[in-house]
Amino acid sequence: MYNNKMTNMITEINSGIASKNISDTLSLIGVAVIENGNNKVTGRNHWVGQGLETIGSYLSYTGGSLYPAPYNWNMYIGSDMTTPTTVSMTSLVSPIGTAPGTAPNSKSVSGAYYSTSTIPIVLTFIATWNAGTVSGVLGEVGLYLIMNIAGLTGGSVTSSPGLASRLSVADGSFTAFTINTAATLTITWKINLIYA
Amino acid sequence: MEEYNIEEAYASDFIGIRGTVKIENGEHVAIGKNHWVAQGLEEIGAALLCNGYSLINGGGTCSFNFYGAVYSWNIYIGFDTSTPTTVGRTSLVSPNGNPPGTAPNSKTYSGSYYPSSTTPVTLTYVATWNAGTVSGTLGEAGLYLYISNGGLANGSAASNPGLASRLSAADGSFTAFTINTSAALTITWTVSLVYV
Repeated sequence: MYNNKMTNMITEINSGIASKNISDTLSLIGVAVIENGNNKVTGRNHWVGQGLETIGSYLSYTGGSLYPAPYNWNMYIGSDMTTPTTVSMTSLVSPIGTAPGTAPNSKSVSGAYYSTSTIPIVLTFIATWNAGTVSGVLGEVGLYLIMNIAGLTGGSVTSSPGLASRLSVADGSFTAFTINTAATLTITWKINLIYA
Repeated sequence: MEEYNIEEAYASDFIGIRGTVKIENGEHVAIGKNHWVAQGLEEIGAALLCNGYSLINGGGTCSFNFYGAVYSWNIYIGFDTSTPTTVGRTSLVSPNGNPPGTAPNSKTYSGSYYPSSTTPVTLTYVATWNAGTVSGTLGEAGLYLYISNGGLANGSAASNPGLASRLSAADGSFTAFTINTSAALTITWTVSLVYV
C-alpha cells in the first residue's frame, strides 16, 4: 500500500514531464516513507534554508571545488509534534538521542541519473534503526547533507552534515506514532530533480 | 504554481530553480523565462549523485572535488525563431557566428547565496556585445554553464561549458527582433533558487 502511495505521489509529481517535455523551472522535491512494524507512513519533506544553500552552492560557487551532496549524509529522528518547519531551522527540535540524534544502525544511498527526457534524477537515502535502538513518539525526521557553507566563505566545508530537509507532523506531513521497539525502523527518503 | 513569499512562509516542500532573461539593445527591451534543457539538470544531478569517488548509481567515477556551474560559463545568441526548446538540446539551433556563437565582448557574474532566512539564492549573468559586433535577427539565446557530465562519464569535466538553458522566440518567451547594430546588446540572465 505504502509503495503504491509513494509511486502515485511521484507519478503525480512527474506527470508534467512527459506532457510538457521541458519547463522553465527545475524543482527538487523529497518524499519519505517511514516503516516500523505495521506503521507505514508517507509524506513530503520541507526544505530548510541550509538545503537551499547547499544546492545553490553547486550553481554559484566560483572559488574552486565543493563536496557533492551524498559525500557525507545522515538521517535523524525526533519527537516534536508541534513545531512547523521554518526556513532557518538547522536541527531537529527534539531529537531522539543525544543531538543531532541517534544515528541509524545502517544506511545506504542510491541514485538514478538523468538518462531520457522522461526520467528525472532520483536520489534515494535509506536509514535503518535496529529493533530497540530508538523509542518514543516519532514526530519529525531530518535529512542531513554535506554543507558547503564554509566552502562558500572560507574554502573548506563543514566536517559534519547539516539539516537540509525535515519531515514533520507539525507540517502535516505524516501522523505521529509511538515507535514499536520490537520492530526495525526504516526511513526511505527520495529526492527528485524534475521539471515542474 | 504560486511562489511563496519567503518572509511569510514556512519552509516549502519544493525548491524551484528558475531563470529570467532581460535583453537590451538600444531602446529595445525584452524579458522572458528560460527553458532548462537536460544538461541543466545534469550539473545539479551530478552534485547529488556523486559521493566523491564514484557515481552512486554505478555509472562511473566522479571527482572528489566538485566545481560549481559558474566555474566556466558563457552566453550566446542565435537566429532561430521556429524551433521550440527540447530536453535533449545541447546547442543553439542557429548560432550567431561560428558555433557555439560569437562570444560577448564582456561578461560579469554576481551571486548571492543564502545569507538570511528571507533571501533566496540569486545568480546573475550579464553578457554584453559591443555595438556592431553581432547583427541579424535575435531569436534565441543560450546560457552555457560548466557541465560535469564529462566527469560523470570518465572522471574529468568537460573543458567547455554546455548549454544549460535556452530562451527562445519559438517557445513564446520573447518576440524576435532585428539587432540594432548601432547599439550595444546586453543580456542579463538571472537564475533564482526559490521556495515554490
